[in-house]
Amino acid sequence: MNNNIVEVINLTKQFKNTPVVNDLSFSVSKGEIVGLLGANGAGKTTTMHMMLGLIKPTYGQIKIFGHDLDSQKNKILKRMNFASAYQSLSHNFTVQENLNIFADIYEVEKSKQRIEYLLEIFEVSPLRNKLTGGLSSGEKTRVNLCKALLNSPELLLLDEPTASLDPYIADKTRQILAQMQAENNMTIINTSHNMIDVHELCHRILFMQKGKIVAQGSVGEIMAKFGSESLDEVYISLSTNDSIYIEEVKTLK
Amino acid sequence: MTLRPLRALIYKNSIIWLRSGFRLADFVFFPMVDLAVWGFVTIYISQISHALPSVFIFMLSAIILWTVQFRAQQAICLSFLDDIESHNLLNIFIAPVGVVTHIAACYLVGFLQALFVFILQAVVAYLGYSFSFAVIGLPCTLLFLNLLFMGWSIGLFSTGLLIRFGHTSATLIWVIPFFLQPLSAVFYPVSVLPHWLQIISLCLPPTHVFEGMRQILATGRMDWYHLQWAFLLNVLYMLFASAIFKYLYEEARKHGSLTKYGT
Ligand SMILES: Nc1ncnc2c1ncn2[C@@H]1O[C@H](COP(=O)(O)OP(=O)(O)O)[C@@H](O)[C@H]1O
Ligand SMILES: [Mg+2]
Repeated sequence: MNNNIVEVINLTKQFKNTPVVNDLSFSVSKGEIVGLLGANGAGKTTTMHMMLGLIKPTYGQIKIFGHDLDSQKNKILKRMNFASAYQSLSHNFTVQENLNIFADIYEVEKSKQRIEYLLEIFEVSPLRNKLTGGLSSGEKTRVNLCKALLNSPELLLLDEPTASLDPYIADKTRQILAQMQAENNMTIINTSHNMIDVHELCHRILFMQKGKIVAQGSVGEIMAKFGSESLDEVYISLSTNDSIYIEEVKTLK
Repeated sequence: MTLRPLRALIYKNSIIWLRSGFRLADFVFFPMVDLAVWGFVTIYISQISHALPSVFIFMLSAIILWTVQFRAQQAICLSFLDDIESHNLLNIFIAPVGVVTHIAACYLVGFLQALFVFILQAVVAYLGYSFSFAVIGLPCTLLFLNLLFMGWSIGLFSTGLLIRFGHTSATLIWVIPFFLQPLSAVFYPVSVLPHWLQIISLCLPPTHVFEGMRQILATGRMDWYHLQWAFLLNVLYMLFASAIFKYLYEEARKHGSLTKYGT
């Protein structure tokens, strides 16, 4: 068996015959932190949702931990997790209750200590007895991250994880993720519009446009390829120039 | 698999009813209001007409038993509605728990809620109107179970719609029971309906439950075929509801509705 935690093979999703993810193939190996980048609407979130079994692909296959996602979904989901800036835990429960519920659902061992530890490192311990619905969006995001790390996932998918965090907490979050990756060899796939996240965390970038990968490599390689000074520039040139998109797709093939 | 995830979901789906005054009212207070209104209306009708005293008993029993089906269905739907409203739906659906476990947790909470409200209404009816459900005797359990099954089926069906069409379909959760009530011969015998409505009515499991209920209240005994029909139809409805739910869930995954409405 190879070292690939994730294998995405010819993945395609069409909504009403419009392709949103278009014949996408990539793999991620154990311990890698991969940034899935691209303009709004490029298909990043849809790709992630397909990797979680929430959306059924039109064509293609997803293999995680060497198993087919479609046929072994729960076995795979038990070893991975997900957090998104657009999600929240149930509004009518306190932070502590929500985390207890998910610890039970994931059958986390020594869940009390694990919750304690996560509340501590994300600096949300004082919020534990507050109703989740009353938290600010940045606080919710941090509680989501606690939930996403409850089961010590081998694979973590993050959809814009730092979108609503202040710079201090965003920095702290990056440190925590980097530390967990180093300690447990956790694999992370991360969509983020925050270029600091990408620079500091990602070993490799997959640049998506119109549902396809148009460039991939390390931050340095990508900038060199586009002759850009910064990732922001790459973003802008990819978003405004369709010919680059077509050329890149050709060369990738 | 252990029972730990199931237990957590049962806990979650029960507690959501206690966390808001509106939900608590919906669950405890309104059944009492129903009981009061129907009780007083029937007392009044008995006074101005020469209706048989049994009419009063029919009405109270009917409202108490109808609530069983209604509560079971509502409890199931709210479990998912709460997750949609909280933007928690994706967290729930990416948890390593099969759909069957989710449904089992919903069904159990539906059962507990229906049982709780049933007992509460029965006690209040006894204290307020000196009406005792004991007159129905043991068959009452079977009537209860058949209404519970129908509540589960409608609950599963409406949840499927909720997952596929999102919050906009939430009104159906309340509309479906109110549409079914007049057809289910709850407060009057099937025989008062026009012939073509009778045919529809007899295809609904609760009709047979309420026909059986009136028979036992009037004569002290019940023909078993009422329960047989109710049970047989319930099995069909459950299979049908499961098939529809499965279809709607797959459609939701295909159209991306889980992520569209869940976020
Ligand atoms: N459920 C859906 N139905 C129809 N179109 C959708 C659905 N979900 C996403 N899309 C469309 O797919 C495209 C990609 O969306 P998304 O994956 O969210 O992009 P990104 O996360 O890269 O910004 C967008 O144009 C969006 O409108
Ligand atoms: Mg997105």
